[in-house]
Formats: sequence, C-alpha cells, structure tokens
Amino acid sequence: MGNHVVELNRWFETPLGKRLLREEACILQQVLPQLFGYHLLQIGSVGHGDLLESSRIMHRCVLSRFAHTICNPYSSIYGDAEALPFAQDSLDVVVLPHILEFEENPHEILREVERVLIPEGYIVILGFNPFSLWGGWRFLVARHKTVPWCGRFLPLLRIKDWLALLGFDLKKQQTFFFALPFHNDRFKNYTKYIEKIGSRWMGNFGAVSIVIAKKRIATLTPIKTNWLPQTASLVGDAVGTHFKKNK
Amino acid sequence: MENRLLEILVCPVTKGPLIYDKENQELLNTGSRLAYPIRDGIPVMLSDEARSLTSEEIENLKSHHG
Repeated sequence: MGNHVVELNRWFETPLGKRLLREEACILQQVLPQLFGYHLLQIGSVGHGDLLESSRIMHRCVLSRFAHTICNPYSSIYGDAEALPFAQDSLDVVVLPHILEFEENPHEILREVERVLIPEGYIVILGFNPFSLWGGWRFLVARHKTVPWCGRFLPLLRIKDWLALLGFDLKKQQTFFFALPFHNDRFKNYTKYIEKIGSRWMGNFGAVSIVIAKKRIATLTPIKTNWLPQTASLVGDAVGTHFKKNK
Repeated sequence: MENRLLEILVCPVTKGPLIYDKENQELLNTGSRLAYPIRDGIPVMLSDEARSLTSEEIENLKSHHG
C-alpha cells in the first residue's frame, strides 16, 4: 500500500488530479475558516497542492510516511498514520485527504485520530465515492490497475458508521466533483455539460465525498448530596404490628 | 525545530513524552528506549528509522531529567 501513496502524489500532479485538488480546496474553503484552534494536522500529502490555505489556525502540520512526498510550507513530520506521534487530546482539527482508501487499516487510523483530537475537535475526511461515475469507471474499466483506481473506495455509510462507533457527531456530508474520470481535451465541452447536470440533479453521486464530524465526550454529571434526613418508611411499622398480633 | 510542534509530539510507540537533544538533533524516549532523528528540521517519528538507546544513555537521561 505504501507505493500507492507515492503514486497518488504523482497522480495529483496530472491535469485531472490538479483539477480535483482545486475543487477540493474550494470546498474546504467553505469549511476550514469556521474551525478554530491551535493545531491542525493533515495526514498524507497531496502532491504540490495545498488544501489548508483557507484555514485560520496558526500551527498547521502535515504528516507523511515518505520524505519525497512532503512539499508544503507547513511544519512537516515523517510518521505512520496508524501510530500518530501526537499526545492525547492535543489537536483541534485533523484533515484526512484520500488516506483511508490507500491504507490497510482505515479503521485503525480513525481510532488514532480520535485519540489525538481534543474533545469537541473536528475531523474532515475527503474520499472517493464508490456510488458515482468514478466508482462505476473503477468497477468496469480501470479496476485494480493504477492509482487512484486501485484504492478501496469507501461508501459514505461505512465511514459514518465507523465515526458513530468512535463517538463522533456528524456535522456535514456532501459529495462533489462531477467531471469525467479521464482527461481528454476532446470531451472538454461534454465534461462541462455533465458537471452542470451533476451538480444540479445528482447531488449524492459526486466523485468525491467530504465528511465533517465532531468528537464528543460524555462527561459525568455530579449528583448533589442529600443533606435532609430521610423520612421514616412504613415497612418497618407494618412488620412490627404483624409480629405483635402473632404473640 | 518549532517549539509549538515539540509541545504536542510524543513517542509513537509508547505515547510517552520526548526529550529534545539539541546537539545531536534527536528526540529521545526512555520508555521505548528509542532516539528519533531530526533531519533538516523535520522529525522522523518512525520506529524503524529510530536508533535504540544504550543503557548508559538511559541512565544519563534519567539522572538529568528525573
């Protein structure tokens, strides 16, 4: 799976990849400015693209496993997504751009993210949607060959189920990007037409899905001590009279 | 290396606190007995690439940092 991450970085440099990144940055621009805090982490890099530009958080860092995949202006860390080198309850926002599809244990990554997020912290997941034109293309034509088609496209329902299991509260879900799953200048006008129809009529079948969820922690509710004396119960008296009668 | 990054970094194996060795550019953890290198200001938090600490080094660390 490691090679796929490197290949995916290269794929984001292709015309189609760049277009997808632009669209994703546009969607994140509507979301990230509302999420505040001290530390933001992006797990996995996306070529030379920058998804965190719109965030107002001062300290932004990018974690990646390979040295040559990191090329962002933010602080970088080499690390494993399944063993995050961050303290418990230390990060305010974690962004996962297309990492769950290409890792062996996506659930393990979510568990780690849940650990490092502060209570009321946000997780932002970007992933390819299997129920879309891109998902169909993967299934029919380009199955298990090249990036990004070799990844496991996770249905929105499964991601939501995992998040609910870890105690996250779903805040937003949306799918977008209705372009054709290949780049060809001959179909340029056709792509524009499809995109227009897609965004107007097929809201749930976009190629990429975004899920935003908030970490919830159930706190203990302190119970007040009852200082008033307890009123005498009737049970004791009743038993007493019963014994008297027997004598 | 940035201070604000150092504040939140822990050992990925034990999740214990790290000691910053400025001279050798390393992050040390006594629990897992590993030293994580810092290459060009970027910490490498991978246990495969970390150097294992000798018992002398650990004793030195414990006496200096408690």
